[in-house]
Amino acid sequence: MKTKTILRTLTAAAAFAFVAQVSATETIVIKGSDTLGAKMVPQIAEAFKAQKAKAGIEVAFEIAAEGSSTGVASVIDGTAEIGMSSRDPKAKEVAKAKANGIDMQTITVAKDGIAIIVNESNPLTAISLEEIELIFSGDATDWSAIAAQTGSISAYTRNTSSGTYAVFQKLGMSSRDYGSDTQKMAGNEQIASEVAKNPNGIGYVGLAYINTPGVKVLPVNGAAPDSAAYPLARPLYYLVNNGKALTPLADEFIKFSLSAEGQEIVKRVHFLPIK
Amino acid sequence: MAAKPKTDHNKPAFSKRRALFLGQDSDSIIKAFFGSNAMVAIVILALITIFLFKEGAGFAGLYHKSLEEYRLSGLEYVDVLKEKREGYTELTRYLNDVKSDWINELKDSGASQAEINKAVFSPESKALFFGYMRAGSDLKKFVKTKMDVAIEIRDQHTTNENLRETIANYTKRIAQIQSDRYEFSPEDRAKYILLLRDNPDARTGAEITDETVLDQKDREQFAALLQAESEQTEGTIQPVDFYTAIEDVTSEQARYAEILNELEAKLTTVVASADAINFNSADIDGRITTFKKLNASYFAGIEKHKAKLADWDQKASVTLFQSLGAFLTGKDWITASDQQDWYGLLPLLTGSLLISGIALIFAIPFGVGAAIYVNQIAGHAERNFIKPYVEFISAIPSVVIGFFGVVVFGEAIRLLSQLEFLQWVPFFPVQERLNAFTAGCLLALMAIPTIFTLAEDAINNIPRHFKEASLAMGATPLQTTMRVIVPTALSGIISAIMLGFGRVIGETMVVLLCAGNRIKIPDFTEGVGVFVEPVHTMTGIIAQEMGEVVQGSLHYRALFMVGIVLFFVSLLINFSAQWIVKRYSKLGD
Repeated sequence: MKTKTILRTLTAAAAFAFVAQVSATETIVIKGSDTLGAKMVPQIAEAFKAQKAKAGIEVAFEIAAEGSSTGVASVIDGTAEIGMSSRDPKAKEVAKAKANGIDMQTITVAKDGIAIIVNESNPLTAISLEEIELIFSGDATDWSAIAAQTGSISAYTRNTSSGTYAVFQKLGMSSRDYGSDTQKMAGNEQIASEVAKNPNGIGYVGLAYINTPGVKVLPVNGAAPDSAAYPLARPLYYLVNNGKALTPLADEFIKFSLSAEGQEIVKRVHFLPIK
Repeated sequence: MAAKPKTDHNKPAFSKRRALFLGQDSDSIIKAFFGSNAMVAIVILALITIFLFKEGAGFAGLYHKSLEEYRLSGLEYVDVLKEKREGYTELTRYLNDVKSDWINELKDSGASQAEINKAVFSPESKALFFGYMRAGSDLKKFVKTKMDVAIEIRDQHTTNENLRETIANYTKRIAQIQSDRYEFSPEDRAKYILLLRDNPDARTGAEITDETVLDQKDREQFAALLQAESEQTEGTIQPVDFYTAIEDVTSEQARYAEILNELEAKLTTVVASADAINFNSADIDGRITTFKKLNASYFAGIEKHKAKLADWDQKASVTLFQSLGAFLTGKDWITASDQQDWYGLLPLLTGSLLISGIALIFAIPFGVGAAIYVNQIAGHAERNFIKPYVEFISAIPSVVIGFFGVVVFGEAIRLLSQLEFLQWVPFFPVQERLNAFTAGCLLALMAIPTIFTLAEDAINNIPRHFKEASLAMGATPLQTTMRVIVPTALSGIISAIMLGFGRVIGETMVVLLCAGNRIKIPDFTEGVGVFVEPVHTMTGIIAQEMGEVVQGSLHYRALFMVGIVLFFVSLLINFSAQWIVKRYSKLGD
C-alpha cells in the first residue's frame, strides 16, 4: 500500500515537472545547411540563450544541419521555423513552396567564401576561375595542364546534397557538371584532411577550414578569400515563411543574428559579416 | 552413515497440473506466444518489402517523364553537340599527357625547375599547348549557348507544371470553402487575414483577430480573394511549345559548321607548330605523331557528327522499358545537375562488386583455412582460443572499422606504397588512401567471421564415421582432411562463402568512409591497378544521399530502385547458398 502511494506521488511530481518544463521553455527549430549549422548558428544560439536567460526566459534550440536542400524542404512542410541555406532557393523549390501556399523569404545573415585548397607541397601559388573549371569538370586530369608539374589531379568535392556543391558549380564551373573523376567527400573536414595528405589533391572548403595543417589556400583570379573581389563568395541565408507570422522569439533570434553582437560571432567563425 | 536423502519416486519429472488463464492452459498460451512472435517477424519483413517496392515503383514513370522532357526540350540534341566538344577535350587531355611526360623526362635528365619552366613556357611550346587549349573556345561557347536555351525551355516547362498544380490546389480549396459545412481552420484564418492586409478594401468592418467570428459573407469574400490570386497565378504561366521552341536550339547549323571548320584550320596550324619544338626524345616524338593521327581522325569524324545531328529526332518516343534500361545499364549517376539528372546503376554496381571481390580474395583463404585448421588440425586448447577470437571480430562495430580504415589503414598503405624498394608492385605508389582496396581489406575482416563460423559448422557436420573409415583405410590425418572431409563439406563451405559475400555487399559504413566515393565505372584496363581506384557503392550512395532528398522526387525513387537491386542481389546470394547445400550435399548419399 505504502509503495503505491509513493509511486503515485512520484508520478504526479514527474508529470508536474514535465508540464512546468514545457510551459517555461520555448523551442526554436532550425534546419538546413551544414555550412551555417556546423558552427555559426549554434554559437549565435548559445549567445542568444545566454542573453535570454538573464531576462529569465528559457530558450531551447533544435538545430539539424544536414544540407541546404533539407532547409528549404523543412520550411515548405513546416517542420522548421527557420531554414538555413547556403544557396539561393532553386526556381523549382520556390514553385513547390508556392504550390503549398508558402511565400519563402531569404534573409542574408553572413557571407561565406569558398576557398580553393591544395597540398602545401604544391608549387602552385595562384589559380584562375578558368583553371578551376578545367580541373573540377574533368577537362584537365593532370597538373601539367595548368602548371609545370606533373601528377594526376585528385579533385575532392562535397557530396551532391550540400549547398556548397551547387554553389561552387555555379560560381566556379559556369554551371557545368562535375567530372566523373571527382570524389565526393562527406564534409569540409574530410576534404581538408585528404588534401593535406595527398600532394596531388585539390579541393574546396569553407573559410573555417583553411587553417587545417598541411593545406595551402590559393588566391583565385588574384584575390584572396577575404577580399571584396573574391569571385567564390556566396551569401548565407535564413529562410522563413513570409505568409505566416514568426513566433516573437524566433523573430528576436533573427534580429539578434543581424545585430552587432551576432555579426561579431559570424566573424569569429570565419565568415564575412554582412556589413 | 548419513541417511539417504528422501526421494519421491512416484513424483513425475514434469508436472501435469496446468493453471488455467482465460480458459487456456499455460501450454497453449506459450505456444500462441511463440507462434505470434514468428508471425510478427514475417509480417514486418513483408511490410518492409512492400514499402521498398512501393517507393521504388514510381521510378520508371518519373524517369520516363524526365527523359521525355530531355528529348523534347532539345537537351539531348545539345548532348550530341557536346560529343564533338568532348572529343576535343579528350585530345587536349592527350596533349597534356604528352606534356607531363616531357616534363618528367626533363626532370629525369637532371634539369632544374628553372630550366623546365624555360622549356615548357617557351614561345613555341606555349603556341602548341596553350594554343591548342584555346582553339576550342568558340566551340565551347556555342555549345554553352545552345545548352542554356534548352535548359530554359525545360525549366519553363517545369515551372508551368508546378504552377498548374498550384492552380489545381486553389480550385480544390475554393470548392471546399464554398461547401456549406466549411469552417475556418486556423491556417485559413491566417491566410484570410494576410489577404485582407493586401486588399484593405475587401472587408468593411472591424479588424479580424483570432476570436472574430467569421460568417457566410467572410467565406464568400475569402473565396473571391483566393480566386483572384489563382487567376493572377494563371496569368504568370508562359506556355511552352516544344516543337516551335526547339528551333532556337537546332538553328544556326551553318554557323556551327563554320565553327567546326575554323577549329579544324586552327588546330591544324597549332599541331603543325609541334615540329618547331625540340623534345629531345624519340618517345615523345612518337606520341606527337600519334597525336597528329588522332587529330586527323577527329577531323574526319566531323561529317559523321553532322549527319548524326541531322538524324536526331525530337518526336521519337521514349518507352517505359527504355527508361528502366537507362537505369540498369546507365553509366552515369549525376544528380542536382542544371542540365539533366542521370541515374545509372552500373558505376555503383561495379563498385560494389569490385570491393566485394577484393574482400573475398582475402576472406576466403583466411576464413576457410582457419575453419579447416580449427576443426581438423588444431588441438583442444588452440581451438578454444582461436574460435572465440575469430568470432569476436564480428562484434566490432563497422563504423569503428571504417574509422580505423580512414585514419590508420588507408594512410599506412599509402605510405607503404611510396617506399622505394616496393615500386615493383604494379599499382604502387598509391595516390588515394581511400580506395576500393582499403575498403575491400576491411570488409574482408568483417567477412572472415561469417565464413569461418559457417564453414567450420559445415565441416563439423561431417559424420564421424567418414573420418574413421578413411583412417582405417590407412590414410594419414592430412590426407583424410584434404581428400575426404573438405570435399564432403564443400557444398557447405561454398554456401558459407556465398553468405560471406552477402555480408560484404550489404555493408555500408565501411564503404561509405573508405571507398573514396568516386562515381565512375572503374577502369579495368588498368589491370591490377583497378584495385586502388576510388569507387562508389550501392549501399554507400543510399546512405549518402537518402537523408537529403525531397521525398517522392525522382532522386528519392532512384535510391529506392538501387535498394531494390540490392535486395535482389542479396536474395539471389542467399537463395543460391541454400540451393548449393541442398543440391550438392554429399551427406546422406
